[in-house]
Amino acid sequence: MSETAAEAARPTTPQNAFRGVLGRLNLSTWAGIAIVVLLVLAAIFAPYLATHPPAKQSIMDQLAPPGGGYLLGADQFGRDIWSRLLFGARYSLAIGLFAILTALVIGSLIGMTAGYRGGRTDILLMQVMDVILAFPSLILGLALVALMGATMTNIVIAIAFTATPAFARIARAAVIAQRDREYVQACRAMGFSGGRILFRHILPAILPEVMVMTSLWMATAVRTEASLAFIGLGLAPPTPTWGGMVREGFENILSSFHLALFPSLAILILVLAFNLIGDGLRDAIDPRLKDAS
Amino acid sequence: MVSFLARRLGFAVVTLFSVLTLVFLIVRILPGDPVLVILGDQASPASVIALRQRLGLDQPLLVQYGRFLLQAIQGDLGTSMISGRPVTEEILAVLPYTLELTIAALILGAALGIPAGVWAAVRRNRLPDYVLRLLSLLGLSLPAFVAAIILLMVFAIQFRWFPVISAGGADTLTERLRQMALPTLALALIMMAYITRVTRSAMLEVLSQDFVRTARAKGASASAVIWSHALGNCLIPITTVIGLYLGILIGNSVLTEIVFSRPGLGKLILTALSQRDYTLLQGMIVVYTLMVVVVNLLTDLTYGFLDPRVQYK
Amino acid sequence: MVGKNTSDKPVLSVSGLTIAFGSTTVVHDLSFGIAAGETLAVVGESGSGKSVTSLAIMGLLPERIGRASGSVKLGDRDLLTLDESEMRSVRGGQISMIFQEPMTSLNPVQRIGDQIGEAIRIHRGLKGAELREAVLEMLRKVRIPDPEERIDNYPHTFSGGMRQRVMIAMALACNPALIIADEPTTALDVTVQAQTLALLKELQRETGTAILFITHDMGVVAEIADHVLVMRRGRAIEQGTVHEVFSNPRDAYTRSLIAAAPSLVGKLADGTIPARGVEGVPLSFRGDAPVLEVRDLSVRFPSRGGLFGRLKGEVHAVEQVSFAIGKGETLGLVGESGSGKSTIGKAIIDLAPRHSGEITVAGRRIDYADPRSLASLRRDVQMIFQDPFGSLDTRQSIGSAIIEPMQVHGIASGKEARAKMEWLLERVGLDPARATSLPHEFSGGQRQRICIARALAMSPKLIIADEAVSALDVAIKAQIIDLMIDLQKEFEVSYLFISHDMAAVERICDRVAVMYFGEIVEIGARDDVIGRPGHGYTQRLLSAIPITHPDQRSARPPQRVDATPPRSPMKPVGYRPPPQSWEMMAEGHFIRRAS
Repeated sequence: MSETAAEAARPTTPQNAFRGVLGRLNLSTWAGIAIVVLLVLAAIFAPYLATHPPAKQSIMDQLAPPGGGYLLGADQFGRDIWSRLLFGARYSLAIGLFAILTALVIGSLIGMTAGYRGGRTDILLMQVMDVILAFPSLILGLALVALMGATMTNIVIAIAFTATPAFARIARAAVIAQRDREYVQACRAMGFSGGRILFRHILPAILPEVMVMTSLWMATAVRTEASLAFIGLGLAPPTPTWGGMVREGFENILSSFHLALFPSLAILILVLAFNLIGDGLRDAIDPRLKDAS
Repeated sequence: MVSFLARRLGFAVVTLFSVLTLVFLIVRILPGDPVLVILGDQASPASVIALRQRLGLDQPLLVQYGRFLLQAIQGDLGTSMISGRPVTEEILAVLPYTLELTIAALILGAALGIPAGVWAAVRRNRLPDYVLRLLSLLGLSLPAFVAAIILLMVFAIQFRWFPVISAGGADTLTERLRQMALPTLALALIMMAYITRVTRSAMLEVLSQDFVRTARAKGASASAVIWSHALGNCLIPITTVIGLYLGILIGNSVLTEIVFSRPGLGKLILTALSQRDYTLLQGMIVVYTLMVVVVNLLTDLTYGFLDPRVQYK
Repeated sequence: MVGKNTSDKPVLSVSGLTIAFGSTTVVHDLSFGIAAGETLAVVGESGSGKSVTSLAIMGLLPERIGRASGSVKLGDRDLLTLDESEMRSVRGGQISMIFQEPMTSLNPVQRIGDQIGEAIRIHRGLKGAELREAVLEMLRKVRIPDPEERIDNYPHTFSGGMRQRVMIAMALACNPALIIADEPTTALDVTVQAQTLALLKELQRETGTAILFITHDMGVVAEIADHVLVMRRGRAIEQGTVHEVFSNPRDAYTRSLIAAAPSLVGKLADGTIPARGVEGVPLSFRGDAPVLEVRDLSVRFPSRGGLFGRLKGEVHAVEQVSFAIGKGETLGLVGESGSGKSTIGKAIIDLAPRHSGEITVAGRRIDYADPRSLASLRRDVQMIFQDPFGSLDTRQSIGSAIIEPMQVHGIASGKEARAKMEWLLERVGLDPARATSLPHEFSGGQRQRICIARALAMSPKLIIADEAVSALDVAIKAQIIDLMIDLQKEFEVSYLFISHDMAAVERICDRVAVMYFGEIVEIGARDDVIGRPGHGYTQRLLSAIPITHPDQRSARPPQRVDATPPRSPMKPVGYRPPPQSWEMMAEGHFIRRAS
């Protein structure tokens, strides 16, 4: 065991790690953070930034091109695309956030329990997770929403359901990696309770990894929500969801492609921003781990 | 090796069984009486009872479950509530379209993604690496329908190189390929993004290992080290990831099929959903799961060839 | 710089070698030479620059970061001036390398025959049947049994020692002028190390290759080197023939390295003492009452396989082990990897499942199912682990790490606990003002001090030290052992000292137990076991320990280079091992009678 090698590989502390991580974030990560912050602000202040009420139809201005009275044009009902995009951000962000928070909490608890307890608990819990994973997630989400009805709550539940096994797996793997480390053995040897070891010692250790996953899965959740809306399983019209706007725009793609273009770009930008953040965080936390989800 | 495969096969059976059970339960717990769906709200009570009997819905749940399982094992997934045709038949009619699309996309994605990932890893932290990383991140941020729409707008509408609608009816091979090109490309680009990333990270991991240093100390050339020693070890994680991402690919195929009005499982499941055809839906979920399970088994089988250690696990 | 007794032109001569990583210079102005057939040992602790030197010679410094200047002459060519393709023909052809980690240094997905063959193909241009025959010849040379069959096997089917032989075969395949061996035996068990060294020496005699042998272990140097170069912090601090350096070391640092070797080992007493059979199990200890008594402890791990995780057999990790430790006494538990010595420690504190056995601490039998009994065990018995970097939570200040167990067990809290923590830090030689620091701000030795303080916080009766000093550099190791001895006197604590390191065991232990395949084969007072080993395995183990002075080379029995596969600890379910019987060599010195 070489002391210098071990010193070089030494883990960082939370305070240090936090400062260090921020310091090591690259330009593209900051770009991702900036985009997300901007879009969150846009969603919050949508009523002030919107130039028209998002549901207001105007027969005169159907399929109006960008510029003129409409910044990004108007759709086939003559509704302002810019204003609808602003309000649509609310749904994309809210659904993604609630779904991923739910999956994060439930998945991490399941994964940590399975990883720490091992044995039968582990086999049973992970078997259930693997069964859920065996469905293609979009198909699963689609089936759930179709069967339960396309309400906000149901979409959140469906997306959370598909994301939970991923968090369970990550948490489990991280806990198992920590569980065999000597400091956890030391804790057990000193008679600390399982809960104390899990929450006071292991949880802080796996937190960075969970943060990375959260960001990457926010991207997936936004994409899934948009895909569902595109299929026609989003919030019912006239609610302005981005995926729904692409769906409506696609019907007029031959004549006015800007209808589909702008919401498509909005989705792409938001998903990319979350991916940039997740990717950058991962590199900053552990430069060696550069892997997709 | 045999016991490893037997274990994986056992897991596959358990998964399929759980999915069948789950599907059976969900379809029966959810609101909406299928009989009323078929006959409409105005149906006479007598016809409702008759249909119930015909569909076996008057039997106790456990009997229904047993019959459902028994039939599913024999490949009988019931008859569609709407069209009246056997579900298996309906699915088999469109399955080849989805399979050819996904397999072509997978091959194209791997053929482009693996070399790109290796190149990025070898040129780590230099321009090609940055460009490829950004592009692959863009690729996996791209919802499949957006990718499909962009390709459609540019290559079918703007340049008119490819048909807008790729719905069947192709007589010649060239025409068939022309129809497949854009949907395949849309899926392959996303797949390539995933494969590039995992190849790059696996490659970086492997390149830092001791045996790579051993190979260099032997006097092996840089290309021998990369393509023979390192990539051989990378193929294991790459295979895992391809297996995992096939679920994403299958999900994306639904979106692509819609954009290009292409026949396939995607269009069929949408029909099933919009018509509330529960038996068809149930059958399709089983088929999707079967596909994933088969892919996982194939992945496990591939390990046996790629990793000599697997038999000892 | 070559030794005076060689007139040959050196195979390799290094002069003024300076290596820098970025702006940090890690090796300063290093010069040495090696003649054909000669072994130069480069000795130093971690961070001394010895491994970096070898990478620089091979042209394998990290690209774009590492820079080497000076000259490295192989024959008449200066390797530092060669380009990459010229360097490739040198690597593996004229200079080859053996690395430390046999487990990771071979490509796991290629057959070993192909890996050895690659070097021969590159440098000797052989192909097909000729190539295969050349590989087989190499395998025979390094005494790998059944070479015709093994040539097509993958690395994971070989043991560590066998893999290192594959590495040696690969290194020798092209008759290189020089082999660089970077800690080639450090990861091996001592008996395997002895065999590997013997093999290397034998092959060197046959081929006349020069060896640059990098190590931290002066015992290995005494065994194998002709010349010695001692490095510290990137500089050569002493050079000379092995006899000069050992008999008349000029530098204090070299002296401390030599002094760290075990001193009792190798000085076997003459004559054997007639043994007599005894009844029961060897439970002797020093003092009035034992602090720990272990009776018939067995640990078995189920080995599952097949479709439903069917029980295929059981790994008998520990089998019918009995011993006792008195108050203030230290019992050493020695053995090679896989002998079950660490499992015993873990089984005592419930980190490993016990199959059977009784454990009594301070006269109270432990009932592991009873939370109160378990809690008292957790107070009375503490553990110190091998890895001082891993056994502390990296996010917890060291003060809080010492206080937490006191709070959990309700021993002390608040101000009282703080005061005790600060006092303990002082006792182990650390500044209490650093209590709020995090573990990474301390060195390895300091962290092990923290772990000792944490163990003492519970006022334990027994501390189990599981390879507690094995990860430390020689000088630090001695300091920690001295600290443990001092604290033992002050706190009257007993130690169960688990280690494979005979020098450490010899220094700290009152009594020693020798483990072999899960069983104790010999136990007794330190001087008896080490000085007059009675069991065949103990004798083999001790004779494999490197000598302490090159003068002893001729005196020791030659090592057999054999290839017996290790005994499998896997047994069918329900297997009952034969009962043990013991013979007494002297008062309290027992050996297992062969069954």
